[in-house]
Amino acid sequence: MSPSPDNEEALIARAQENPEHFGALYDQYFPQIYRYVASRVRNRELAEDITSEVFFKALRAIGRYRHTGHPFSSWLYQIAINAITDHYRSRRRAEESLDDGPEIVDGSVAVDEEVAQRMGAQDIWDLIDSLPDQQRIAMTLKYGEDLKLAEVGVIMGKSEGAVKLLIFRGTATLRQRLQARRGNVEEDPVHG
Amino acid sequence: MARRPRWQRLWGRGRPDNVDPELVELFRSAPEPGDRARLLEAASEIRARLAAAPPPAADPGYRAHLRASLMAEARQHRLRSQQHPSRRFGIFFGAGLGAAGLAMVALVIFSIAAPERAGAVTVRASVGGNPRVPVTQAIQLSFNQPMVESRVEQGLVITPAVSYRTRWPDPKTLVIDPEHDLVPNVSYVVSIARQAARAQDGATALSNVVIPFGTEPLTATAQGYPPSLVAVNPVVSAVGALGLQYSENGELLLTASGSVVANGNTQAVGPSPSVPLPGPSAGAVYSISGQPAVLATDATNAVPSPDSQQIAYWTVTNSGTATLEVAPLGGQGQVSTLATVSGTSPDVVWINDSSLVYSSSGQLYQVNLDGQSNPVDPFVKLGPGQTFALAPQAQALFSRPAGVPTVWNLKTGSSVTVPGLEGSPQWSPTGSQLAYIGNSDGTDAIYLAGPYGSQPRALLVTSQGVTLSDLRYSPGGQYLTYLAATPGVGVQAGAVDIATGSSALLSTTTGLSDLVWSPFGSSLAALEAQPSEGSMVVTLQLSVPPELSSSRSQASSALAVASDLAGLQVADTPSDSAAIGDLLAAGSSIPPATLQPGPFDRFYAVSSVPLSAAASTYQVEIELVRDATAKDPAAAQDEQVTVDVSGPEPLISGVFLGSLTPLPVGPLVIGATATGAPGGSVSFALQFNSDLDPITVGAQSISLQDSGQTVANLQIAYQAANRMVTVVTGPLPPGPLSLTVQAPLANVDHVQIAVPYTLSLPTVPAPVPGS
Repeated sequence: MSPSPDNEEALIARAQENPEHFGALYDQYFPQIYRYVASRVRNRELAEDITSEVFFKALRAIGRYRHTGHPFSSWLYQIAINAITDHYRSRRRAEESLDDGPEIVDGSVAVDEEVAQRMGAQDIWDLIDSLPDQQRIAMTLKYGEDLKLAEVGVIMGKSEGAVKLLIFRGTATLRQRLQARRGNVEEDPVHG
Repeated sequence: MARRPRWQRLWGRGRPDNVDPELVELFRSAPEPGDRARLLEAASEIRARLAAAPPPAADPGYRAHLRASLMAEARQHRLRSQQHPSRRFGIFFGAGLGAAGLAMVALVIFSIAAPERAGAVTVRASVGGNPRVPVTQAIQLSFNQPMVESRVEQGLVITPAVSYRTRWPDPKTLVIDPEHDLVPNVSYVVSIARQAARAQDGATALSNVVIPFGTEPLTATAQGYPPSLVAVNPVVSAVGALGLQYSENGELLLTASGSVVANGNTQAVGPSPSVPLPGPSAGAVYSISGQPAVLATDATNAVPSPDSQQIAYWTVTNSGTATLEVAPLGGQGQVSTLATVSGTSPDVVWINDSSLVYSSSGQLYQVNLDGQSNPVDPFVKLGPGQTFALAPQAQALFSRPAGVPTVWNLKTGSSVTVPGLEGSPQWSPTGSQLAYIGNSDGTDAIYLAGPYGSQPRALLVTSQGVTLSDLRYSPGGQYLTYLAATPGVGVQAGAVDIATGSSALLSTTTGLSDLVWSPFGSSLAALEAQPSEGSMVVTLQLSVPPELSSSRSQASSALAVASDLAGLQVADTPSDSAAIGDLLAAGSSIPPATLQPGPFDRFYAVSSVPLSAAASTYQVEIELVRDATAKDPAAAQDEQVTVDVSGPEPLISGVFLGSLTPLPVGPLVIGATATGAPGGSVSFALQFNSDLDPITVGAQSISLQDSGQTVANLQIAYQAANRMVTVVTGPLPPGPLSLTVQAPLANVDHVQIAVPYTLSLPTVPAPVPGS
């Protein structure tokens, strides 16, 4: 449960005054951030590494955090999204340098098809991964984290309307791909 | 009955429970009715599938381990922040700051190792190899891959030491923002240990990162002038003095040959007659009370104690030793012998009223008045005969081991080399700041640094050819006075406002030396060289309110003036409302809670000024001081209270919190040139410190005397763009010239010139070669 805005602001102020008080913010938001990171990378060790990076970055930058009325978690989500993105970018570069290009997940149609052929327990995450970056982020924050559209907008630096469009399109795309996996041909494709 | 379309069936059964209302509302807006149900169905399936594929749980011990690691780092940086107060937490952790907009020079590729190995960390530096980097520039390091930011920052070293903040616009880019301008004309090296240059994938640099660069020489000229610092009515007070010092309570001590101390009460000095010295007699120390009396002969390096009750000096014996003695200045009591050293007389410095520091054979010793002597610090080694300077409370020391200007932190033993430092530095009265004269590319400048010599920044840069000397802090630490020797002009006294960097000439008098502040900053005394009689004492009364005292002893003296202020205390503590409350007497009419301490490092009480003839009411000033070395100009704030001691208990009222407000004064001439040829015309160029009211520039305010006769038909012009007034004469015969600038000349604020300016020439100046 998130703290009340006043209490959250007090926790932030204390951490800015004395970094050793950052622990209270950590205790409050670790489960939420770890769950989000783990849902995105679906590897415990990697999730732990990235979550560590998120909180260390937050600790180091807490002094310049300015409370704007949005939940503190929005800021942590921003850091987490960037950390996850950086991880995949660096991994992609490393793989490219080793000429392992075909294994790279970059959201292209070819990968979509490849992913679509791999059915399993994690298929919904694979499908979400196959979405374009912005759609993927909006979808995971909305569907996975149950955040309000407005908060997703804050995290992504977009208007609520733009977030709605991303989710609208992302949902439509996932629906099509889920149907494709089932071997069904959509009789009445969504207009999106 | 026809079966309803699928989408209608889906929609008709209501929204799924697992889809939140925002999505229901979103999909309800789909343009096609069929899409609404399909999207809703998809949303429900997505949620269901996500719920069925929970993310992997964290290792049970991981959460606690990460928390412990975070707290360890927080503690570590908190400790660093305490050791370096300017590194506030938010700042230390890379708060972006106002260095934005600093132009980056073209990136210079700086390869760590050649040939580059795949996967190895490499970096490009914005300053790499550039020998003339602007002193205001940030340093940007661009890595070839995302870095482990904490590791990089831990391994980052800049020499000479620079206080800086870091930020990472992205994981591959580190921007280092110096908190203060870099020192001009200095070679810097940014380095990162190889293992600290670690990428997120574990790769490191192949060798230590070493990025040399240099800063450009200063090219700025003297800045504007503060309106609050103008000396008026120079007063000649004595003839024959060779050295000056104020006593704690405002008595002017005249020191001849650096060793004769005589009495000169400031209350008695006046325009005339001159007060003769009892001497001069080189090598003698005189009592300052009553009739001058010889205390010692063959004395050197005499230094009064902070309370002016005693004087320390060295006497040299025939056997090649020097003896440190302390004598009471009041003439009562005995002379104490504290130490004997071999060789010539070393420096001696009072730490407080009861102990001194001197050097002997390269070692510093602290000696008490009872003669107990102990080494000061084992890690500070001076060369034989080397001079030194000591910060207040003996927290830092300056000397020149092997000729290298060095400041030691006597608390930690660490030392900082201060490149370009000329002469001896001066610590502010509180010891929180170090001021020194440096020379960059042939141009003298006043620099301010932290108490241990770090974070230097240029405060005042002179014009080419001007030589600065004799830095002196005002008692409150707000101003620095200096002597400036200008070719063709002579030695003049000036002052610079530390908060703003603006400076002012204190008078048009030349040939000055030994500039000293009175204890409360209301006047200055200096020696003015006389062609035939040695020196005269010149006192400069400043048009500013008495400045705040800032040391405990000076504050004590201020309190002695207001001796009835029972209960008023002197404080020098970290700010907190309780301590401020302690400053106010019991029964005060001001609730301490109304005094907001604010983000001040320390505060001081006080000077007190009688407001009534009966001295029953005093104005007491308390100064609140922020970080005096920061760029923030609002480094100090004044608090004024009125204390009424006419009743049984002091009544304190009239609290005023606000920044110091300078007094308005008029324009000043800050530079003058004259060119011409005998028998021809003469051109004067007068540089002013501020914009002039052009209506006041003319024959009514500027006149020229040639051999005592007023020269008519001067062509006077004002160039507003550069605040320059030019005066051109017709053909003049050879003879002494005297150009005078006076009221009604005024600045654009309609404030007239306070001190008439006179430029005297023995004859018509020669033309400038090549002009």
